[in-house]
Amino acid sequence: MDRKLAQIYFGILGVVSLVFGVVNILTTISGKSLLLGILEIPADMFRGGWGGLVILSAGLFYLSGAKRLSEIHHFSKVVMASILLWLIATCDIFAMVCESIPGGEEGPFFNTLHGFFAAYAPPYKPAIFLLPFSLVVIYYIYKRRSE
Amino acid sequence: MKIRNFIAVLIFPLMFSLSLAEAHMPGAKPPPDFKLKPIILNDGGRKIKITMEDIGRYHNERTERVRRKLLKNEGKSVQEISEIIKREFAQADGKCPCVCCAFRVMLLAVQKLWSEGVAERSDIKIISHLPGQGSMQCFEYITGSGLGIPNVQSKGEFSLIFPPKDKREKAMGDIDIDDWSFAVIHKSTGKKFEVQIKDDVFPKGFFALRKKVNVEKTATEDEIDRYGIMWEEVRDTFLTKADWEIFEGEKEPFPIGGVIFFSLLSIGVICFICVPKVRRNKKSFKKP
Repeated sequence: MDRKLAQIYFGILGVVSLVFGVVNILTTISGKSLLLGILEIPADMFRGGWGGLVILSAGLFYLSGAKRLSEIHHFSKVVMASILLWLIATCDIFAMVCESIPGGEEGPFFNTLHGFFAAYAPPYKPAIFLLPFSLVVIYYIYKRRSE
Repeated sequence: MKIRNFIAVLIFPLMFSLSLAEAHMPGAKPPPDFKLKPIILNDGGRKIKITMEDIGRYHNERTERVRRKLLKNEGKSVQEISEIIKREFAQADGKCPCVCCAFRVMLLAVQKLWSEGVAERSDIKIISHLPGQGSMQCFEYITGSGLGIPNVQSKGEFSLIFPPKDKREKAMGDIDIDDWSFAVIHKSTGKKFEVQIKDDVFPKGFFALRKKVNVEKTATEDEIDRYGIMWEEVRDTFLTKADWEIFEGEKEPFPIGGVIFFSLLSIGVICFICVPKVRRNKKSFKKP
């Protein structure tokens, strides 16, 4: 039952990642970033194009691995997909942290409290949305080790 | 009285033709996607919604009509006039910086002065210091006091007051940031909302270049192109930026979303550091 649930979970996560990856690549090709409420899909070459390719790969890994999760080779694909998402999400978070500390081109050396929190305000990129859901894989890593 | 007549006869037609040059920018890129709420008015018991599109269309029609008249006065033939109009107004949508600014001013004023966000049309009084056709026509449309506005049941008031400078110079189009100030009055309560546009809205050198292009007509091709880019930038700012980025005195809302995200991120980092340590300590405690 637990394995079945994990398969469905990572399957859905795979589909969502795949969609985000494709949209990321499409926005990069069109050159117009997309803003949907608190979700922002960038269109620049690095974060949009390259990042989109990584998220797309993560989606493919999830879908491929979710089929037979009990097998170590397939489970490693799911872990790999999560690591890919963590890479992109940490890049995005690191960019936010770097942006939040200095006061800007014409501002003071350090940012104001308002400016500091504004750097963490929405919209967020797709990898940040996927990050908490990808962390579930840690539970399965520990579970597998204890088994 | 004579001075008034002089202003009416000489200056206003000049102002009209000068601001016509600003009313639309041939070759300007279309504006970006924007989400501006409509202005909701109660017009003699009937609720009406005025959108940015309505004002743009109205301004475009009036500008086109005036341009036709000016071309006719220049002695152009009907065919020539229609060709010039077709060329000049090919992509014009009436969304010039003045129109967009006036619309944003009214959106904010209605929100500030009328608690339910619906203003009684006859209860509106607008005082503008900006001698631009776009803003004037926008205010005329909203108050219902302009020409050719459909289904007007009641009318508000609109006045254009030049700042105490040389009126003639002002009317000639020599405007600066001080002129981008407006006052909206809730007539029945006497409440007044005064607003000034922020300096940052206009790129550096915008007014000097505007004067060179529209008033003195001494700008080079390169300067005209540069002015066109600045014009688009100002228009896009009025269409897409938040109130606090456009108007003096408007405060930026505290980024609650940012606080929540930062808190969650901090909790996540603390857990990432502490949980393995706690587990390790537990294990070592269990060992004999």
